[in-house]
Amino acid sequence: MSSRQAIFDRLRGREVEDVTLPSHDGPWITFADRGAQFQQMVQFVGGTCHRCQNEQEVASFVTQRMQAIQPKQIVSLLPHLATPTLDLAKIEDAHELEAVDLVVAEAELGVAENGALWFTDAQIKHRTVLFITQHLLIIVKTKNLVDHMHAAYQQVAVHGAQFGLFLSGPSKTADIEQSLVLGAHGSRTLEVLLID
Amino acid sequence: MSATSTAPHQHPRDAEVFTANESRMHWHDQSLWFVRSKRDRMAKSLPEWEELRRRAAQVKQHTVANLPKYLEAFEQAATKLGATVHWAADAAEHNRIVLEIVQRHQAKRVVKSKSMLTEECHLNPFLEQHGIRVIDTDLGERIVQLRNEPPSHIVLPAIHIKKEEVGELFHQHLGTERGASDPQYLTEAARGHLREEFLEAEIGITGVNFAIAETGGFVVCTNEGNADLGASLPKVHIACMGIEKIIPRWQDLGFFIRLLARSATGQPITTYTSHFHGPRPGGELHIVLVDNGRTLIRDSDMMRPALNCIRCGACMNTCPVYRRSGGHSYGSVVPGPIGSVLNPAADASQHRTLPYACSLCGSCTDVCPVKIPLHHQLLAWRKEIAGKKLLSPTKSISMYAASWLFQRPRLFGWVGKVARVALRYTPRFMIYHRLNDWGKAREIPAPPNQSFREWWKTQPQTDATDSKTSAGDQR
Repeated sequence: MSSRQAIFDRLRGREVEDVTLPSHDGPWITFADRGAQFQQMVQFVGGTCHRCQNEQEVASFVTQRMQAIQPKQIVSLLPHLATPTLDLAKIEDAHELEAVDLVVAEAELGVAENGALWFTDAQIKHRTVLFITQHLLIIVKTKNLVDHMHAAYQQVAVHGAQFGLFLSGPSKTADIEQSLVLGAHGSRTLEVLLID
Repeated sequence: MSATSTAPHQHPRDAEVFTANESRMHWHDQSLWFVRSKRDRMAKSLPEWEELRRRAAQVKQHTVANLPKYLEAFEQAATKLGATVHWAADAAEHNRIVLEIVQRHQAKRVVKSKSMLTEECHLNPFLEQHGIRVIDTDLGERIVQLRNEPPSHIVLPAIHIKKEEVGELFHQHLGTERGASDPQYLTEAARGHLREEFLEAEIGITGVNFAIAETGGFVVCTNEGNADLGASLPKVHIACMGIEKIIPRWQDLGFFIRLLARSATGQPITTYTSHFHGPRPGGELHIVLVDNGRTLIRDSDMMRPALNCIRCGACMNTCPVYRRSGGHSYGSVVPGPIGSVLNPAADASQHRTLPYACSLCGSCTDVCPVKIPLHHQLLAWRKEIAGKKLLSPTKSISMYAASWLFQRPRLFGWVGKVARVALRYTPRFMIYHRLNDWGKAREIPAPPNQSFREWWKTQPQTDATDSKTSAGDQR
């Protein structure tokens, strides 16, 4: 008998007390100013978040950031804001992304309760780039913010064989004496531009 | 650990090793209490916290009751997405399946992210025996791997180690400066070392936090990003999970993701919450579903809720015994209250002392995000262990004597009276000796002048019916 069969036989041989599945509806927490809450949470998880009123502000912030980081290799999915030096579409093997310094991209959605940003590999051909890059510069629109994870899971979906990611803050660890260190394996910084 | 398969593991003996260094014990206690306090702040920031716990527990109970249905649905959906699903009855089969995949790809280098299941199955030594290099990539796990010891906590594997010791370890293995102990510097060194491992690995192994029956996908949560690099650079990804990790619906993730990181480390969410559905283009995805005793736990009405566990570690962070005795004193991969419930289920004789590593304070039950009645289960285990006659003689004889005495109230009253006087004049060596565990490292409280019953008799008896039933000795 296969192990699969043995496991199923064992499970089916013992009927246990059942309960009905709960609903996903709230009441859940809501925020009067989602943008302000989101901004606060991004800072809390070790990122920075700037609110921008218009395209001009966004562009000037991106320029500032590029000067600060001085990236050599850039993956930009928003070429009008930052000129890419690498084209993901032309890259076959994710290992070629080893030396990426900066990724500029837009998140589909942001979550106010925890500062999380949603990405899928429908937008980003090599998902590795989100983890391997030294720095992340992410744009998200205020209208694409939701209060909490229940609303987030209602809105986002993965279609077929897809990878989806909630990203909240830069990579971090506290494995040495509970001292928080940013930049464990993934990005060292996360800058979010919240566009009203 | 120090336990062998022949002699039963003794928590008090191993805890004594840890508590011998008092300042270190207090440091450990406070480190964990700090994490527990962060958890409290996060829990209190959500008005719906208790509702989330209720619903998460409900989802888990329903899933465990309908496990065959959801496992089948998951297998079907995952297979449709292009993943290969494997089934393992026990640890040995799990290890064989993983080895077979590794060997089929003629791979020699494996990177692994944190997975309590692979620890439970002792996958690393098994793969190493077959000439495969396995690197744990979570920083804490890498530290304990280099020290050649198991993790002491399921979320904070190196919580028992001081930064100076990490400094010395990295100096030996990674060539960092001698005497350097700055966490920032040491983490940077590990980052450089592990980047190379990620880039050269042929296979990535991860655990699974939640697997979704509805979509055939699964979620892995990390802060460092190690699971993600490990699962996106090598072509082959092997995800290992216990069969209890299933949840029915995509939207159920809302409950669990909100609870997990808040309970574990006091973060609103982990940095990376990755949702894997099928292999990457050109890649391979294997999912290994493991029983290894879980169906047995499901059979027991008392122990079944332990399958709710989402491995957040909150019960460890709050446990007064764990905080002071350290994870290694539990002699198994999962320590703390949940470990003391799960380990005797695997081998009651071997782990007979664990249900007693508990003051029954109930704090674990209070913080558990999925409402496992941990301290009730620990009490139930004590009954079971006493029933199986597995108690040590000092414990079973004294319990038998106490039970005999409690059934004789007049004698009990007299013994109390004698003891209250006698204890004042008994020489220390007769009270504090190796048979009296309660006199170890603490003073027995000074005997009171009167017993509760004596005191009660001096009180004005206002309500006749009340005093009649509560005055005690009616015989």
